[in-house]
Parts: sequence; C-alpha cells; structure tokens
Amino acid sequence: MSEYKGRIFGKSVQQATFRSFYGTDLFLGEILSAEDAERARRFLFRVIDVTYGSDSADPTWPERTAGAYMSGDAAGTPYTLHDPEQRLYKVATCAPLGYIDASGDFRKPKSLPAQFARVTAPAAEDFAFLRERMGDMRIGLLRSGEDTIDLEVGIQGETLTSHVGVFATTGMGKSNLMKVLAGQVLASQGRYACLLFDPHGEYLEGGSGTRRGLRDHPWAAERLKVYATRATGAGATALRLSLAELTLGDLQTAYEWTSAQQDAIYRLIRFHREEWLTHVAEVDIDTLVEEIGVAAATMSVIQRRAQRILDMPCISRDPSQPSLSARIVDELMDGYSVLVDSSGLSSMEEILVASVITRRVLETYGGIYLEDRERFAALPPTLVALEEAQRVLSRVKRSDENVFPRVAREGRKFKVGLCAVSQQPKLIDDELLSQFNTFFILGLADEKDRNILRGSSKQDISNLGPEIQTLMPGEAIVTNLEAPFALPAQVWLYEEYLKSVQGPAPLPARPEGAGKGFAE
Amino acid sequence: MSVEPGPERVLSLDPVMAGQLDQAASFVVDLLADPGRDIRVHEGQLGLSDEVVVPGHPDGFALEPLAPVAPGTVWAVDGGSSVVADGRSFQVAAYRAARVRFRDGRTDLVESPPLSMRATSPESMLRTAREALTDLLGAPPEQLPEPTRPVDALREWSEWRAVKATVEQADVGDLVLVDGSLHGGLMVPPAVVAAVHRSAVDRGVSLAGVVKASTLYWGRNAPLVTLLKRRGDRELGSVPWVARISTDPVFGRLYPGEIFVAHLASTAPHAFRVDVARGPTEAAEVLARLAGLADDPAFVGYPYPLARAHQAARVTGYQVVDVRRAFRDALSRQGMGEDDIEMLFQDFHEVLNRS
Repeated sequence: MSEYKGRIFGKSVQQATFRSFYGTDLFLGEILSAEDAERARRFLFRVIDVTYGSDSADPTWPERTAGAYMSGDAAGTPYTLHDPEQRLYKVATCAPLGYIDASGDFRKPKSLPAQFARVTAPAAEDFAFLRERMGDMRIGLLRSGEDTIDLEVGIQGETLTSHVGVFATTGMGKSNLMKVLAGQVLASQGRYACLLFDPHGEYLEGGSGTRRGLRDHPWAAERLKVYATRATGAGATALRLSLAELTLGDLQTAYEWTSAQQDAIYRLIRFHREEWLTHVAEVDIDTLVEEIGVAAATMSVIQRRAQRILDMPCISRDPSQPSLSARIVDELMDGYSVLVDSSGLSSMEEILVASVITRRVLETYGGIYLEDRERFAALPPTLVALEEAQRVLSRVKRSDENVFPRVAREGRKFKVGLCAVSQQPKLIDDELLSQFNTFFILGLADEKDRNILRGSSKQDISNLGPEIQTLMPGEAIVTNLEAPFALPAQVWLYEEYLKSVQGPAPLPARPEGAGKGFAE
Repeated sequence: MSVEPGPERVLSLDPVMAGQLDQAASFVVDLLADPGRDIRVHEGQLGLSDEVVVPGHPDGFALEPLAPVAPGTVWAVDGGSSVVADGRSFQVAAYRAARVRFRDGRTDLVESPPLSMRATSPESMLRTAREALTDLLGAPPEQLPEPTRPVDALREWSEWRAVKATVEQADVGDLVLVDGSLHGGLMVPPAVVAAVHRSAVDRGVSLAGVVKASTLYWGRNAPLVTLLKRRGDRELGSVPWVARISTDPVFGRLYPGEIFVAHLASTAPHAFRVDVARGPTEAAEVLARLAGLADDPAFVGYPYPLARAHQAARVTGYQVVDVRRAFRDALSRQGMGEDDIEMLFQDFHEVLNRS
C-alpha cells in the first residue's frame, strides 16, 4: 500500500492535520505515514478524527447548501453538486505515533514532520521495527482502519505474568480472543501454562453452531487438561474439590459476609477447626446459637450457605479424597493448560471454585519461589483467566483474604499472571487495574469503561475514545509496555487460526514386519 | 472645590434619526407600488450614456416556463481586482481575469492566472486605455473613456481580452458566458462587444452574459428583475422561467442580442438579467442550457461555470494583504524609506475606525 492520501497542513508535535481527497476513504484508527525527506524520517500517524472540508470561505456554506438540496428535493427538481472532487475534501486529525529514522529505529514523536508532507498508506516495511517487538503470543494482524497489514500482532509470553485485561461489551469477540490466546499457550508446548475458568462451556466446545473450542486445538490432546462439573465428553475429569481445600478466604471471596457473620465463623473455626462447615450445616440452629453465642438470624445465614456449599456437586466431603487443586497445580507446573468448565455452577460457586484453585496456584508457586529457586526457574509462566473479573476485583471486594487482588499485586513475582475478562472494567478497582501491563481492548460502548482504561493503560489511549467506541467485532486495541504505541489489531477468528497451527508431529509409520514377534 | 462642567453630549439609543427609517421605507414601498409606464435600461457606458427608455410594464412581459437541457461545453469568464495602494493622485491596482471550461458534466479547465499589477495616474490611464482598447478592437479607438476608477477599468479590459481569446479558442457549438451584460461595462465600448460578437458568430460559438446587479428598471427606478421574480413566484410557482425584455425594436438597434430576465432553477431565490447574443443557436436553447447549469445546490439558479470563474478570479482579503506586503518589500528594495512607505499605505479612515 502506498496510495496517496493527502498533505499535512497543520497542528503541532502532538497532533497533525492533513487534507485528503474528496474520494479518499479514511477510517478512525487507520495508520498512515508521512515522508520527511529533508530529515530522512518517516512519521507514523493514527487517524483519530475525520471532518468535512470545503473551499468555501463562508463557514455556513455547507449548511446553506444542504438547505438548497432539500428545497430542490421538496420541489421535485433535485440538484446536483458539480465537481465535488474539486470543491470538497476531508480533513483528518491524527495522533503521531512516532517516526522511523534513517537507521530504521523507531522513535517517539517529539518533532514535527515537514509541513505539507505527503501522506500515504504505510507499506509493510514501515512496520519492520515492530516485528521484533510482537512477541511469541500472536493473536492477529496489525489493523489500519478497516484493512489489515501483513504483520502479526501479539505479546511476549513472559509478560503474561504481569497480567492481561480483556475488555469488551457482549459480542465484540472476547471469547474468540480468549480462545486464540489460550490456543497460543497450548501451542507453546509447555513453555507457558494457563488456568482457564469457563463459566459458559464455550472455551472448551466453542459455543454454538460451527464454532470450535480448545478441544479442537491440535495440541489439546497433548497439553490440555479439562475439569468439569458436567459431562463434557471423553478426557474431562470430574470437578470435585475436597471440603478441606476450602479456606475462609475463599468463602469471603465468594460471598458477602457481615462483620457479625464473620465473627461467628471465626468462633466456629476456633471450636470445630476443619469440621466447622460440616458442623454448622448439620447441627440445629438453637444448639449453634447457644454454642457460639450469636444471634439466630446470623447463624441461619451461615448455616444456609454452609448447607449449599456442602450440597454443591463439585464439593466432596470425603476427607480421603486427594486434593484436586493440588493436582491442577501440578499439571500447570508441568506446562499443561487447565480448563475448568464451571458451566453448571452459579456465579458464587464458580468464584468459590476459582478462588480455591487460584489460591493453591499462588501459594504453591510462592512456596517454590521461596524454597527452591532452581525449580522455580523451570516453572512455566502461568496465566489465570477469569470471566466477569469485576466480581472479584472491584473496590468493594478489596480485602486481604481475596486471592485475586493478591495475584494482581504479587503474582508477577511468582510467575502467576491474572487475565481479567470483563465487560465492565469501570467496576474493577483502578489500583488493581494499574497492575495490568497488557490490555486487549475490544469494542466498549460505555464511556466510563473507556475512561478507566485510559487512566491505567500502559500506552496513551486518550485520543482513541471514538475508535474504541466504533470497533467492530474482532477489532482490538492492544496496549502493553513492549509495544511502541497502542496497536490496532484484527484478532484472528479462532476457527481460521486453528488452520495455521501445526500440531504434534505424527508418529512415523510402523516399519514393515514390526508386528511380528521375536519368535518368528 | 468647583467642578468644571463637561461638554454637552447628545446621546440617543435610536440607531437612526427619528422618522428617517419610516421615510426611507415609504420611499421603497412607493417605488414598488407606483406603476410606471416605461422600462429603462441604464448602462452608463460609451454610446449609451443616456438611459434606454421604452414603453412597458412588468405585467406585460410573458413569463415562459423554461426546461433545462444538457449544457454541453460552456466557458465562463470573470474578473477580480483590488487596490493595493491608493495615493489619491495615483493608484496601484492588482487584477486578473479567470476562466473555466465545463465539459462532459465537469469542470475540466480552471485558469486563475497570477495577479497583474499596475501603477496608474490620470495621465497614464489615458495611455493605458488607448493601448487596451486598441488591443481589443484591433485598431485605435475613436473615443477614449474617462477612467474614474482605474482598477475597474483594468479589470474590465482584462476580462474582455479573456472573453475575446476564449471565443477564438472555443469550438463550434460551445457557449461562452460573460459576467455582466453583453454591452460591456463603463469602460468597454460597444464596438469591443460587437467585435467579440462577430468573432463568435463566425466561429459558431454562442455568447451570453449574466448580470448579477441588473440595471433594468421600471418607471421610477423600481428594479425590474425583482418585480418579475415576485410575479413569477406568484403566477408560476417554483419552476424555471424566462421573460423576454427586449421586445421593443429599439433594443435591436442598440444591442447585439436579446435581453431576458430568467429564473433558472425551481427554488432559486434570485432571477437574473441574461443577455443572449444573436448567434448560431436560438436564444431559447441558450437559456435552456443555462438552466441546465443552474442546478448546483451551492449556487441555485446561477450558472455554475460562472460561479467557478468568479471563485477563480476573486482577490481575497488574504491575497490583498500578501500583495501589499510584497509591494512594500519591492518599494523598500527600490530604496524607499520605511516612513515613506508607511505614509503611502496610511489611511486615516482606518485610524478613525480603530479608535
């Protein structure tokens, strides 16, 4: 692409405006380049706004002309604007992204390009400097407006531990992106691992219609472990956590407790140790009230919740059952990815399960970090992905017992990253959000959501409000520390992505006669 | 301590002297209401210094519906000018004539030459007039105009030079449009128009002029175009129409063609005087072609190529400032002191208006 788009005429180091042709189609987010031949620099810009322009000196000319059109229509004699290409044009406002100097290095935009510099669509070689920064977790192609550029966009797998945010309203491609991202983890063949909580069963099976899931990934058989509360076909292990694995912190993460209820639970734990939950579920209220000395109403809430937890199909009372969360952590440490299909659980139950397993991941990795640095060095960076993450990362959920904020704050040190998937980033604690180094921002209609991301993004996205608002499904903005600017991307459709994944090499054919025994 | 009385001041919140607004309004209303008995054409030019007066009444002209047709190839010429420096005894003028060609539904030629610049004085203007008119006529003029406004004279001569050249360049069947009447302006004698007209007829080219500020009057200076527009709206509604004004035989002796008032587009807010020279095609066809050009929503009712020519010719305020600055630099290069240059450009009206 080197088509001529127009000429720069004004503004400043921080913003450029160029005049374009009447017939030139310009899109928000389109990346364009301008040649500064005198300084041997090639500037890159992102279109952030496009307006009308005309050669008329009268600012009311367009309004009057529209009125004249309408009068002609009303009179049944439609008018025709002659020579529109000579009289009308477009003015694009652009945010400078930086420039490539004579040696091919990319530099931040600290100087003005030549005035009246020729603006063209960039060529693929203009992005050569980006290739080496795109990392090994590729998720799609660089996008320029509605076109794509032949440059794969992604992030470094090592940066998964500095947390990833995936933000979009419904239908904008969150699940597809998550499948591509998880697919890349699978394809890394153990270099990275991910723990994926799948509340709708769509990651595993692909959802409806012709959609495909992680089960269809060429590396699934080798690298994916599945735990499910429902029958999901061969290869899935029943999700049954031992009651002993539940901690008070997990309960505090999953449920809202009043301080009176918390005090009562502390007393119950003091009296009954690990048996408190079974005890409170099985003993009658009056006895409990007398035993613990709290109000009946307080104890009824605790009892009701305890009974529900014990009735959960994913909770086992069998004290001899080996710890499922420990098994999952072992698999992650061995470079497997683990998908927990929690589609049969309620939201609170799902959080409870996620909390138990995530806590085990964090504590195990943290323990190894402290005790065995050599073993720690061999651990794969591990990403814990949770849908509707605002449920556990909101400001009101900020507590020392909630494991998810702990992962956000401390996980990086222990090679555990959090992938927060959310439709409402505005509900996430902004202090926690600032811990996330990578954002995948898909279409977000709510300005408050965009504003909160603006404040926490590692790249300046303050000018990208209209672009984010107008992103189509699958179109994303990627920000992280490695990228020189917020990268527009077209995320691969997972089904298309699968076609490009090379699976494990098939076993060589059996040599002729190999089936014969030595006896022969 | 005594307080000195200040000067007596007469202040009023009324913007205009009491009663004078009504007097002025009454004059205009009477002008439009009082039926005159004649039609006047005031060209104020050489050979037509007196008004042409013929019997007539606005209601007496037939309003004929006009059906637009494809305009074919149409050229349009217009001029622009500005006074760069006014030393009272001399002027420095900048001017140009621009032209456009509309062909196959689009403007395929726009000629907007750099400004010409000339320093003039009353003595030099006579010499300049002789040169310009000799050039236009192909022979020295019998009579020279008295250019009271040199900048207008220079522009008009420049325009007619461009019209002459355009007619000579146009192909058979083309239409050449002039901004203004086909009787020249104050500085352009009818012989110049006649010469261009002859050339047009010889080459099979149609020639027409569209007048933005008409000098057609009814009775005591009531604007005829406005009156006919009002009548057209009332009687025909939103349709293009045309009225032939030059019905009296006297026009045939004085003018190279016919004079019309035309409402060229259905919802056009204005009608215009249109002069159509006798030529290779009927005036009706030329008018229909003009209607076919008057459908641009930015210039409804005005032939689009003339609007483009106007844009190409005009000297904008920014250009005037640039030319003045360049001229000051030139004066400085010629050794003129800054104070003298300042004096030259000083206009005490500006001082008064600023204060």
